[in-house]
Amino acid sequence: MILEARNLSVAYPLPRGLISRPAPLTVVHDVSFRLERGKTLGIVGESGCGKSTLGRALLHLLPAAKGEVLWAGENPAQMAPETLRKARAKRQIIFQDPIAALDPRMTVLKSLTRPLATFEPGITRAESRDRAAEVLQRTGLSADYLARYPHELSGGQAQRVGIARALIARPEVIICDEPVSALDVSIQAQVVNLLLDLQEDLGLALVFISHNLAVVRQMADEVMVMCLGRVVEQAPAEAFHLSPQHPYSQALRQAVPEPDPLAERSRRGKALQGELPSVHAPPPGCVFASRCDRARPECRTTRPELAPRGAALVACPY
Amino acid sequence: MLEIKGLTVDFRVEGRMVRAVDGVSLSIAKGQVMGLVGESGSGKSQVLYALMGLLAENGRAGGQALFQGQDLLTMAPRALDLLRGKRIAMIFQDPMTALNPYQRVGDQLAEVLFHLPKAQAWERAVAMLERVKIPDAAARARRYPHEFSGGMRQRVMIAMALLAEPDLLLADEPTTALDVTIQAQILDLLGELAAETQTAILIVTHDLGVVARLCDRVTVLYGGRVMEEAGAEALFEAPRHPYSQGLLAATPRMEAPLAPRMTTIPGTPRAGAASLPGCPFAPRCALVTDRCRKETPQLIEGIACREVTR
Ligand SMILES: Nc1ncnc2c1ncn2[C@@H]1O[C@H](COP(=O)(O)OP(=O)(O)OP(=O)(O)O)[C@@H](O)[C@H]1O
Ligand SMILES: Nc1ncnc2c1ncn2[C@@H]1O[C@H](COP(=O)(O)OP(=O)(O)OP(=O)(O)O)[C@@H](O)[C@H]1O
Ligand SMILES: [Mg+2]
Ligand SMILES: [Mg+2]
Repeated sequence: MILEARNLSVAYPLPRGLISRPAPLTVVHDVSFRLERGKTLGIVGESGCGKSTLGRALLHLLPAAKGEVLWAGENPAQMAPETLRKARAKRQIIFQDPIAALDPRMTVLKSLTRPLATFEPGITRAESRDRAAEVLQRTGLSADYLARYPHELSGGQAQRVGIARALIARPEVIICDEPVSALDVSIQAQVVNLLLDLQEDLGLALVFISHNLAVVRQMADEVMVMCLGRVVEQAPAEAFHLSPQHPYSQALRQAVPEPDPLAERSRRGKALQGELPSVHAPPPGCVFASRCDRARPECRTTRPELAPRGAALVACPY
Repeated sequence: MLEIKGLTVDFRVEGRMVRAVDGVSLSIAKGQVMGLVGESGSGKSQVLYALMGLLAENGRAGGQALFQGQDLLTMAPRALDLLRGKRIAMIFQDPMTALNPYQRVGDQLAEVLFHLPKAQAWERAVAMLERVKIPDAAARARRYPHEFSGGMRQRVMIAMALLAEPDLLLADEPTTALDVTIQAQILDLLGELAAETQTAILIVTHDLGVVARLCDRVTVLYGGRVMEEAGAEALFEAPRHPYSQGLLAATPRMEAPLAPRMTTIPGTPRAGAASLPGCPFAPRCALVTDRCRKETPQLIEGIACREVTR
């Protein structure tokens, strides 16, 4: 198992108050999954539900508040610094905010080759330049862009530099946080196909966070759906696509906009309604109850646990 | 409301001028929503930046951009400042670089309403955060941008633009970080804005589903040039330009059977296509002729392709 989470919770320290020091704010609760070589875990969920936080914790960029993360069976929190550095080289992240994730004072070439210099000491400048040009090319950008600075790139070009930077060190695992959100459909398809090829050829494992259900369907072997820091459904990808079980998953599936103006126009004004719950005051019951058209009184008072239903785990007994 | 005529944007790169936007023309009426779609790097964001007078230091805009009859490109900087943020608002593609990291979100929003007393501006800001579905808005307003998730920052930007009650809203990929249920709510909110306050909207998006839901008309860019301009229904029903056809064919559909790989448009875009003669799409086009490589096709009756109009 190349990456595993066991009952993982992640928290942010809250700013110190004048009198008291409030408890840390837990934004990811009790997440468990197992990811094998060459496979993809897709993560979807509402905005602010903790996907990016979870992604950072999986790379040990944030500590686990409870539970643990395992990299090929080992807990990074217990690794010696040198072991951790080596293990980290094999685990990369593509950040959600592509331009902000690049150092504004570094050319694309420098951004790309810097990880090489640390992870493969001894590599020559010419070699690393060639590697940078090659990997950039595979994301659909010519070597002309190596000399550019981040502010001279379009949103989608910056995103592809972020992808190239994650790929260049030839990692075993990549956490992809909305990696194709700024790409047009053709380049998006090209990048998705590239990742699929790398999985087949090199056994690359991916955690793929995305709001784009069509892309998740293409990429993922397993899908995890999150709401307010909790997993509400975890299922094999095709089963999830054919019949999502949790009411939130179903609402997502129905809200995917289709490229059909007549159909879309008839859906105007019919978006999901109801208040979104807050992480600062999480509801005692189901996190989706305030928006669920099938909510019963007990949904608002007791939180349903994840339980098996067919091939899936679903946190809704109804 | 807005009429862009022959807009160009050039950048000085290593001592040379490189063209990013090459003669873009489009117009938007009051209350109309125009979608701007096209390949990554085709100049969509630069069109918006040029209108806002916010091109990078090495950039130059040419042509005309008439807003309520005044040319935004030749306007005195002070006059443009007055329009910006009030009559014309923009939602940026990259929220983290557009928000001030050291200022509480509520203060940044309230600043838009500088003409109101502070408490009242704050109240309006919180109400707007609620409209864009930020949970616990009153408490959230007191927090800083880095404490927000990607999609929440995006909604803060949207709230900021809407607070200004602009006549023209420029929106650059405003919903990419939102889940589809919230995206639908936000698109409906933008649609209401156009219908109720007659705001004209120019929205950049890669998601043709978003175009289908919100837009009245669509402009398709490739390599800095307009390939096609059409009503939304017409474009989806019968795209005319080979690039528009490729875009629609590459759009994934949830109902379609799953293929082992996703559909792309064959070939890769040329870097700096807009600086070269000929149709920028020619190297990837199935209908290409010698003439396409030499002569740049003009946009005539909504289409810049001689091969499909013959
Ligand atoms: N540095 C921080 N300090 C305090 N709270 C934070 C911090 N970063 C994120 N949060 C909060 O943690 C929660 C989860 O945020 P996260 O960025 O993980 O969400 P997300 O699922 O990635 O959302 P999106 O889809 O919008 O990117 C949010 O409520 C957010 O406001
Ligand atoms: N400051 C700059 N100097 C040189 N070239 C630039 C500069 N800013 C942008 N460009 C180039 O101008 C072209 C158009 O960029 P623009 O940001 O408008 O693309 P876009 O259509 O918005 O793409 P995306 O969908 O990827 O955001 C790109 O090729 C980009 O690399
Ligand atoms: Mg995120
Ligand atoms: Mg852009």
